[in-house]
Amino acid sequence: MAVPEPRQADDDALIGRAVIGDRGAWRDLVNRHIDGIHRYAWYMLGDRMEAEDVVQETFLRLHTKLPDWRFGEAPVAAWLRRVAGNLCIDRHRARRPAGLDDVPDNATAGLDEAARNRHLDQHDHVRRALDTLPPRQRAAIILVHYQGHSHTEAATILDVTVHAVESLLGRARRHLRVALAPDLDDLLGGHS
Amino acid sequence: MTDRPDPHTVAAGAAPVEIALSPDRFRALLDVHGAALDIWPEAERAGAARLVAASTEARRLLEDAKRLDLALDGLQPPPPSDLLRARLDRLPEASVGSPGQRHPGARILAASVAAAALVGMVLGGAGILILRPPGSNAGVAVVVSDTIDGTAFADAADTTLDLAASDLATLSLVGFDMFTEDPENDIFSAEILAYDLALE
Repeated sequence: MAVPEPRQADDDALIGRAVIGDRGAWRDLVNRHIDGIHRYAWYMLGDRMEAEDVVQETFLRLHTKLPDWRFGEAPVAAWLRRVAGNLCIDRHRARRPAGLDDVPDNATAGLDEAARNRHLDQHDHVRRALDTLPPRQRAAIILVHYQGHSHTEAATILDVTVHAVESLLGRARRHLRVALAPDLDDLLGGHS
Repeated sequence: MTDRPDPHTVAAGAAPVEIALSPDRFRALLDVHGAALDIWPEAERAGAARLVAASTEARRLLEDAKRLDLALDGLQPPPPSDLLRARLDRLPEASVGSPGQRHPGARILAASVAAAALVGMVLGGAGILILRPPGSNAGVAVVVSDTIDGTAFADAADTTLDLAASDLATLSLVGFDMFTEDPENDIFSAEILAYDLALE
């Protein structure tokens, strides 16, 4: 599930060039981080349009901050996730429930109808279960389970201690285990 | 009396005695670290492996955790849209020119007194001001209302426009050329030569 993070040294070099107006460096910076930030926002919000708004706002803030960027402090990836996470939490209060329209087309390509329906059910159940988590617990499970961050990295992004991250993860998985348990056999079908 | 050491006691100078993992502790660790035991902290891994080998209950807990991980893995996001990629690619020209222009020494202070006076006059009443970055036909339409302080524009060279109705918080014009677009409908355009953008 997890995708390796871009190297910080490369990010610093790109910021150094982007800050003097190098458009190619800005483009490279965006390309290195857009997928990870988009996945994070989508898992947090479950809504494609809202996630894209958050991604745009996050990168706008990065661009605004470039002249004041403090090299060697927070890694770009962590800074972007912190900003995106806060924006998601802000938006979550007014968000609509996610629907099946948000299932990516490629997720069900090549499946027969029964398998496709099962996948859609699974998507919907997991999405709803995630949505019932308090935002900080949701952020922790997304960062660690879906994005492959270590507990230490997640603590940096969430600006809490490692112990707090582990507490969030423990509560999140307990909640998800209970929420999904009644339907897990049906959801997993032949996988279990 | 038993000859087995107390697992919770480590005598001074003796090798540490590993504390046996209980099923409850194992379940708590599964909740924190997930079902992939090979990525657990090293200190917990060996005890977990022994418990799984010895306990039916532990194997059941591990299987439940694997099934939860598998269910979570079924949730896959769509890729970012091409439109989003294009918008981010254009951010430098669409939002603030280039960041370098925001340093005082790099500002282009090109607003003429005449243009400044015109802006001041336009903003004295209601209308629409279309802000265009250099070299772009696309612009940001701003509804000019009485809430905007038009007098600030009379001073021109470093001017602040509060975009209350926009997603943007504050736009500071540091140089612009102004021309009339549709005077009957109070629509005017300003080609921005340099500007600062600040978010709330």
